[in-house]
Amino acid sequence: MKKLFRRIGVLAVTAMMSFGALIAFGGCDNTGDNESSSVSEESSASEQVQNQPIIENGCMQIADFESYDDIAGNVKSGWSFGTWTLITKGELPGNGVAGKHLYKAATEAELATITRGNQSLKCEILGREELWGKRSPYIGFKTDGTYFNKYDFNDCESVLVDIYNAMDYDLNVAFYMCPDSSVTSQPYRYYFTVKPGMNNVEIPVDYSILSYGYKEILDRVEELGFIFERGELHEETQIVYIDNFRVKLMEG
Amino acid sequence: MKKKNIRKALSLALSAVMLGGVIGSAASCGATQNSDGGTEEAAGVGITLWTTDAQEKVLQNYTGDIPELTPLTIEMAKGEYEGAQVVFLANEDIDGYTVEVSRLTNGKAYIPEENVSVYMEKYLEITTRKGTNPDFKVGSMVPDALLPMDVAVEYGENVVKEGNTQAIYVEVQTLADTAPGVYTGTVTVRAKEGVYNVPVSLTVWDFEVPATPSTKNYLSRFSRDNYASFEFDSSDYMDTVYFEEQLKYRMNCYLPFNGVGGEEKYVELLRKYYNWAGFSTYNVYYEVTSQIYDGMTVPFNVTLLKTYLKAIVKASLEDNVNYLDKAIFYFCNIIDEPSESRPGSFEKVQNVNAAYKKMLLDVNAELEAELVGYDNYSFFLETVSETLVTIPNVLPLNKPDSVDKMNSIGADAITPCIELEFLYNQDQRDHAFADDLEGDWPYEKEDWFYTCVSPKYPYPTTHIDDYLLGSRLMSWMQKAYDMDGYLNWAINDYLWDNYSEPVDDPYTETMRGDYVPGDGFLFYPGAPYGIIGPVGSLRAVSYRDGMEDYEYLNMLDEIYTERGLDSQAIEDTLYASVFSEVTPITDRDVFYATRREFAEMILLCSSDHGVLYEDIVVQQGKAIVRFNTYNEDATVSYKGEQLVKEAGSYQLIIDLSKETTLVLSVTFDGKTVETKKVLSGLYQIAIDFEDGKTDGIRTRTETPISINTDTQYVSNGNQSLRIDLTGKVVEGTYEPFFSISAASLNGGNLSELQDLTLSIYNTEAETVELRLSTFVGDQYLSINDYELAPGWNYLQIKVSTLSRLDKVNGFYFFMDNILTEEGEAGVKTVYLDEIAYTKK
Repeated sequence: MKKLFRRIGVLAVTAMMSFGALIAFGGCDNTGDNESSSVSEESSASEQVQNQPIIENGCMQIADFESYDDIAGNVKSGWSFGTWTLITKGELPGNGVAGKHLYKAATEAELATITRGNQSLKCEILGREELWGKRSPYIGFKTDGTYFNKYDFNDCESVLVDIYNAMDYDLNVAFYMCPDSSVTSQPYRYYFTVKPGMNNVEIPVDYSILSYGYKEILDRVEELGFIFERGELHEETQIVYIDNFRVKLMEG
Repeated sequence: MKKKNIRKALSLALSAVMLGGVIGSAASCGATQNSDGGTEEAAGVGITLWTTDAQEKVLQNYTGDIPELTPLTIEMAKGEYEGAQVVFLANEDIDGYTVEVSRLTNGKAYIPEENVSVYMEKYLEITTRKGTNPDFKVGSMVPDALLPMDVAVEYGENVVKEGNTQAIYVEVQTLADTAPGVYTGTVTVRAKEGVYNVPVSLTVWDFEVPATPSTKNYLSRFSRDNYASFEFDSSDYMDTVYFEEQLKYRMNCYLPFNGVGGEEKYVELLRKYYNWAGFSTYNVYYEVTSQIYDGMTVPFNVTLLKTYLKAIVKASLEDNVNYLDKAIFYFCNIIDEPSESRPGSFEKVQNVNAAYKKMLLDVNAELEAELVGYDNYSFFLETVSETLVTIPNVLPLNKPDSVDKMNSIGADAITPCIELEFLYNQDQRDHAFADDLEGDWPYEKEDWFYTCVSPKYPYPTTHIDDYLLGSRLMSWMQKAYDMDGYLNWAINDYLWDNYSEPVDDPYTETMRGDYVPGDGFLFYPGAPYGIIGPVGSLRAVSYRDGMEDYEYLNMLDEIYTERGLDSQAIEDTLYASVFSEVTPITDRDVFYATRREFAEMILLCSSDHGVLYEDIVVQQGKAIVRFNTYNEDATVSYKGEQLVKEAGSYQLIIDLSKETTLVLSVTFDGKTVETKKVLSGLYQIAIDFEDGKTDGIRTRTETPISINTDTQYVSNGNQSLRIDLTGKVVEGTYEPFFSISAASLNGGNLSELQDLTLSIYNTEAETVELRLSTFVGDQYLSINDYELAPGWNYLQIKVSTLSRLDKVNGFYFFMDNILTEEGEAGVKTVYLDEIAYTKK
């Protein structure tokens, strides 16, 4: 009943204001619920698209780093991983954008790190000499994220990611999957090396070449991510950029 | 008080009128502004405002009465934070409201703009019933996170739906040099076309809260990678930001250090923060690893720890500052809450205890040799050495009984940290905090307490689904019971189950595991709002305010001590106004009045005309007051007659039926100042048996009662009540009792009462124990135990500290079953007289 009165009341005010406009040539603020309701409809449509899986060329996006909201709360890290920045080739966000201080404009050289959309994730992995240096920092992604919601990887052929290594030496990386979010249980690992520059990595979801493995976990993966080495020689911060983290679905 | 329902009906009616005949232009139909700061608004339009103190949680879906608008009132000392709330009900959808605070002025003095902060309170929904507070049901929208108002505007969150309530927290920070006095100003809320002004009254008392806390605490800052899930930063920089923000709330933890730079860097940080405002405690850096030390396999790096301890000691000698006096050990990821349900946990405690003792003794001995030749070697021998070997090894132990387990396993060097609800009487506290654990460790230890999932309401908590007052009064209990420190396991857990996956949205998710709402976090990540560092909460503010209150209580102690007097008795009287054992009151007015009384005592006591009250005992309608003057050369008069000291103090007996405020005239150096002290509220006898009636008294059918006229058993008048408490031979439990009905006290309106007093004569030759419970709804709530000595006993029950007074049916005094040596029903006789109460 309250809503009805409000709606009628608003219509009455709108009519009155329109009448006022006829005789006074505007000067009134004609914004009413009509305009705000159309804005909210657009918003809800875009939100709906955002929460749907992103599938392109047979690949489903796990994380694309196009906004802070997409990944905040979907990412965890371990052993004082470091800092993350959203490198953007678009305009820097203005006021009112979540995580706005985490966006940085891409330098000329950083443009190459963005392989999909307008942004990549710059990871500055802290280097250590002491205890923390002996632990391997990792970054992991929940499998129930903003637009990626998939636990069963049995229909997946491989996992793909673009990693730009900004150092001038190779970095050893391990991809992992685990059936729960406890990082100590990482039965599924695939080791690879990223050379300086861009590396378009494809990690087969294939038990025959993996370090550990039992098929059972593939239907209940809760987290997947990357473990980096922090060797004693690596005293400085290691910088990598990650983008276009996706999974390739099997055909058919 | 305005009724929300009437306003809504009017709103609908007026809308119909508008519909029928709308004329005029698009001019504002919002509120008009009155010069006195109130508003008159058209019903169904704009907002309706009121103010409240910082301790109230006003739900977003509040459905109670709306109070009249009163000034936003804040009272505080110098050098602290304090705030209050402006609350408004949206009578229509409100988009884009703003809140500003004018300059707060006191003549030429003013509070700098940067020291006045305005926060929009964000709400979380209680979706799971985990707490026990009946006022926070499932579906309650509870305020917690404090978003700076300018950020709320930037992120478009300054909107309120019609029918919802929005609270705004206004906070003032005073500095050491803030001029005392009364400041005034205005809070202006702009909503729709309305402009709403709320007058502000800020009183700054002329004493200062010290920047360094006088007591310890440890509220754990969770791991960097935990908050990095939302802050995107696990670097030293972010850890430093979090650490320094914690200190603003007087919350201590470990230094922002991760091993890099070794002991030199650690000492550098310690030097930096040692005198930082809010800093009182740090957990000495340690690393978990397996090491053989003195033939023991130890789960922490002893070599490293020794290196760090030595570096700290050497810095202490260099700077002539005992850096170890704020140190603790808390091996939280090695030993924590050991129990039978955790296999091997007690063995670990034994192991750590043994290693810790050996390590401290070895370090001490090694330093004794290494430091010979240092300029102030004597400083080490006389001061630092003792601190070194007594660094508390804080171990959360749940119950006092767990201390017995520690004794049985020889863990004699740990500092017991007990859950607060288990310290519910002096016996329990004595049990938990015995001076020495059994063993050969000769050094004193500290006494700590903690809260987490437990306790729950009515005990103090830091939970979302509970009142704020308990978390503030925890620090009062810490002072009252001489506890050295408070521990809380996490203030910024943004992951589910500590180390698992991040929660979806820390601003809407109340749980961090299968715990209770709010357990594990008092802060929120700032990054979602473009803020570097954590966002605070009402709960964090409440705890901080309690820690600042602690300094008031400590100050009063120091004033009395300086004068050679003991403040304990008078402080106990005030403490009894705000908590009973470890159960806090819920009446915020009483809390603020008591806090004000402490402040006034501090102000009064430290002047040449100050009066230091040593004891006030209310007994049989009289207040026995013992006091002294701050200045020994001052003289005191009462009703025109100069008083003379007896045994070093002044003493007066005041008939509370004639006066309840003590007025004294204190003269010094030719100037006389009048001081007033409220002793109690109105004293009223409820039942004195003079009319022969026993209404209001109940016993079991086996326990007869009768009117007594033997004057040796009468404390007032000519008659009293004889109660022959009689046992019974039964299987199971049987407890004789007598009770006083709530209806017989002030017409059943217990919320107006301060104290309930009664006289009881114990006819036995030995002490008899009575257990007091209230009967609430359909269950008993234990209140206190009393030991009645032979003869007359005068009991004083602090009714104002009890919870759920509106549901209390009566006061029940139980006794253990009374059986003779032959196993037959026995009798113990008591006489009851002068059941009375004082009002607030």
